[in-house]
Amino acid sequence: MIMSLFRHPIGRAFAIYFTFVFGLALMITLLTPVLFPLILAFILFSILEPIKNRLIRGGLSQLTAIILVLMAVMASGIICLVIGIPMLLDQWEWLQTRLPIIATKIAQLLDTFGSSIANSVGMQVDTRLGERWLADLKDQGTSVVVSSAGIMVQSAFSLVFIPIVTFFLMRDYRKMRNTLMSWLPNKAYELGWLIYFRVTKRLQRYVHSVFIQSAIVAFVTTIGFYIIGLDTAVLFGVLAGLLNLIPYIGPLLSLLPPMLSTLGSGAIDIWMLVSIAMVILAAQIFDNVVVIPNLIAQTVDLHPMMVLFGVVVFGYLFGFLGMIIAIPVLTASKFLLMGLIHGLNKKLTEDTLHLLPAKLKS
Amino acid sequence: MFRKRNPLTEHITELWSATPLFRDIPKREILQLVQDMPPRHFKAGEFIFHSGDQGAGAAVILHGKVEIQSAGVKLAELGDGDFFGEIALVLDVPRTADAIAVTETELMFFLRPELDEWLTRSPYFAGKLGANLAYVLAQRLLQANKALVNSGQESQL
Repeated sequence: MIMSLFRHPIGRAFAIYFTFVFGLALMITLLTPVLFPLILAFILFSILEPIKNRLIRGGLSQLTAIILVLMAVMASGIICLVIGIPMLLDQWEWLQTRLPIIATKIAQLLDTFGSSIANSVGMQVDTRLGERWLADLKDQGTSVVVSSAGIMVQSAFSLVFIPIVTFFLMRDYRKMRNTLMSWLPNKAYELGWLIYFRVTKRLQRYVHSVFIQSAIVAFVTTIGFYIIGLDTAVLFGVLAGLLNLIPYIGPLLSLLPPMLSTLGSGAIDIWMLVSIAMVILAAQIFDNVVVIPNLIAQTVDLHPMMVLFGVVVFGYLFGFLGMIIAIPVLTASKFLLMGLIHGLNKKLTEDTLHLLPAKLKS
Repeated sequence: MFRKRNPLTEHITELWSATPLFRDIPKREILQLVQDMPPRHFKAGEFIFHSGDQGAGAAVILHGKVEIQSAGVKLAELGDGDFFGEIALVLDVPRTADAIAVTETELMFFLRPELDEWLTRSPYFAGKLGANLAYVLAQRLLQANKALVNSGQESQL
């Protein structure tokens, strides 16, 4: 019964797909300690590869082009670290000192909210859940200080690890990939290459587009926060840009830090809270009307339910990084499965012959 | 920089260089394309591809013999240095014929992903390959037209 299922092309496609996904999951689990710098190195490689090619076209050797590109990136990185990190750390420390005040303020708000509900409706609202969360928030304020030493060590490791991995990717990626592909059996060789081609094309376009999108949202939000007079406009703007990498949930999350900060900065400023919401809304409208149709459209073709499900599951499994990689992983996964089904099912392949003009147009 | 050149890579470069696909393209460019691409080995009687399979690129025969068939009818027999499957470099369509290794055969593929990367790395020479490919396909079209006209004249007689 099971064997006859595998003899069917679609059954075989699913079997190969699940084997691949299982292998990938195993690899991700094994690589968890270096997953974040590894993904960053791959993203850097994807961004820097066209620049390297441009230099090679200009007459430089591959090695010289790689060294030049990496040196430029490292120099920019060091400048950003020297100028940007102290500023962001200052803003973060400022925010950290506010955390207990913010927590107390919100506790007061919850109490006021609870008693006004009790007075008007006569119903008792249990605010203990909110209190517990606020206690956690206070604790986190302290734990951040303790964990910051660990973060520094990890950052130092990443600073060395990422350029080294990026260098070897830029130098040897083609060789490593071709060797891996040569392990495919003869009858799956061309299909394997085709699926690789389609998946990497999509992913490359997605990574490039989404980073431009993130930078635009960060810029628009920072300007907006600056105009409404919010302290730490740069920190919250950059955060909004980063959180925008998480579909649907990200924009909502980006509302929280500036709003909490405003709540903890003295008297409740309703005008400022509304302004923050308006800035995030305006950035989202700009993103959805201008950026997404021109940049992101057609790079990802996933159902919204699938996107939400993926973001929640990957977020649960791998935290913030998981939420960011959910969409590219799901896109790659979809193209792998579709490629296998179409490639292994001859009838489907032959049926696509009449679609030739449409394919040529795309 | 001072890497010792592999004789097999040199041989494959020579073979591709002799095909009309790589006419007027410097050997150093071809060498860069083929140096990290391992050849594929096929046993006698093994299908290289079936009609209807999705094709990813063209292949040159390093040694051995390959028969091209359509519905069991032999269309051509190819030997060392011959190439086939070049339509897949241009169109994302299924293979239109079967290719079978008649003897033990070693092939070297030149695939669409490689062409795509070459276009970003070296657009001038990759463009030249595009022009050569157009020339090869136009010649095939002319031959097919002539064969069609001849068969039409024969049936009238």
